Amino acid sequence: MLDATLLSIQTALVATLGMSIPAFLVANYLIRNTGRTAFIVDLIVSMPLALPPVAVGFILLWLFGATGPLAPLTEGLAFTWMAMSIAAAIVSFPLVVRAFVAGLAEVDPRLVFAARNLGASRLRATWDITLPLARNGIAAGLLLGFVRSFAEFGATIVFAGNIPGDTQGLPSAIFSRISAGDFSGAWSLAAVSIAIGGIALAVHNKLVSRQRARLASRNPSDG
Amino acid sequence: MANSAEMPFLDFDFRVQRGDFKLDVAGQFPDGITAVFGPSGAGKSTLLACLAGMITPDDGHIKIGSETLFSSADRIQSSPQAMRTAMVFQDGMLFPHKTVRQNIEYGYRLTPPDLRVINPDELTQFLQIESLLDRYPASLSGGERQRVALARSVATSPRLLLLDEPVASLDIRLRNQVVSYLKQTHERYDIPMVYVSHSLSDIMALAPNALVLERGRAKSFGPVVDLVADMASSTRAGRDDIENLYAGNVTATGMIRIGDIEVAAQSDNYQAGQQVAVSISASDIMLALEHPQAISARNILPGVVQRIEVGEFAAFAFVNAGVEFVVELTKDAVEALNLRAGNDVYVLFKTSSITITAA
Repeated sequence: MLDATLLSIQTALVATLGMSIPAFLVANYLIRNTGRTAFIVDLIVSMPLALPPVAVGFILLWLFGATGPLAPLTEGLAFTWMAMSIAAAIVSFPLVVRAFVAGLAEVDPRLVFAARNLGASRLRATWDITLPLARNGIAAGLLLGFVRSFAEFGATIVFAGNIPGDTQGLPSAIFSRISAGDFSGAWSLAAVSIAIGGIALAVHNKLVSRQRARLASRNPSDG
Repeated sequence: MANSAEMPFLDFDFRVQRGDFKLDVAGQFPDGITAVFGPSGAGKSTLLACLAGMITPDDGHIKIGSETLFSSADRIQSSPQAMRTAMVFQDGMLFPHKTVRQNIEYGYRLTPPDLRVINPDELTQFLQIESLLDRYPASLSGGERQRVALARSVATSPRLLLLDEPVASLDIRLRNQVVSYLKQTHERYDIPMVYVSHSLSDIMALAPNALVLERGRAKSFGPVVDLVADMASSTRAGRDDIENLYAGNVTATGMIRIGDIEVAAQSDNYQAGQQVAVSISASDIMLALEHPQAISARNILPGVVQRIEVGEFAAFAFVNAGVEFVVELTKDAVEALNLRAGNDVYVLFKTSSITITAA
């Protein structure tokens, strides 16, 4: 049980960290652009929301599989814990992008320009101004990414399998217990899921409500 | 500058399309303060955004001295951080998560050490914001916020200051105060400025020349007093009041010293020696051809009419009475007094017509 829990936490952390920078770049792009390209980019990164996770896992298996287009780069990736992280990251990505977009929408672009105007490079202005001002939305996005990755099952079981001690995270372990008729085992694992997921979600909700309060308290005449 | 006639400080000529709006402007500004005047939507802010490198023009050029900041022909576009044309925004745009001190030090630290010619400690003292250094922008008043914004930009030792309606969101008292600080900042640090406004009063107090923008095009470039003259042709409802703005000192006797003259004002709340910003509305000033006897107005200053502008709806007299006053009259009054440039006149206004603000 401990193995599965730790593996799930590790998988979710790696997935969250791994997607943070790409998600930030996509969110930053989406908030500044509204044209046809932005529409298509949004559509592509949002697709995992609309697909059954099993289908996402199937596509990943094809992409990274022995005869897939990405096979030469990623030999032997499928059915490893890295595959679990990749599956979780792909499925969580649209949620993280959406939360980041909400956070970035709070940042007046003129503040970022003011920093550039005072001598900051683009990266420096992002680090000094955008990130601190969007911090609630960024943190909320990372937590949401962690929560969703931690709970990921459908894409994972197809792409990474369900190998005890290897690729069996908490959701897959619950599935195995249920399949084997071990309901009390399933219940105790479900309880661990509820505890970890619940805490992360509570922190996330707190951050989002703080972000709303900040928006509401903003003086309209200052806009 | 001896060669400023041949070589303008700022030279630009460019076009930029933003949605349905097209800006097509050219200008050659000397190295003092030059105003950009026009109604909202004329393209003033877009012009500044281009001069700051925030927007890249579609074609044309922008030069400061001999350095090209933008040239479509030579494919040059300086990055915003390399322009060193520091902007002061209408609402300050102070970083809300940084203290006043951190705001001011932000640009100073990013300025290469060999280009730092302005000492931020001396600057904060000069702008009287030392007591605010540990506060956050949200707790500042409008006037304080704009002084901090000015300090933040000046601390980068910019080669040009771009002021985007920096006093438009302030009430008249604070407006005078900030305008007065702008003027003193220019005199002290000798930084050329482009001052954008839709109010002639503060332009008159700051800039000898103005570029007038209308619907994305330069309508005229010339002395600011000519613009005041143009206003005589607009109905009162269609224009702002003209305010005469000055920097002054409270004297030991409670008078206000402005340049070489002293005027009576309600100075009870001010101490002798204190610096104040002074404003007198052009429509609160009267002219007389002879020294009036028995009159309640406390300020009666002898002067000479420099210029009279009569338009369809109003007339303005420019009178030198030790300092320059713009006086708003009616056409009938100009005719009745037969006022001409060169006339000796008396400038009259009540003590209560003077608004003073601590500077």
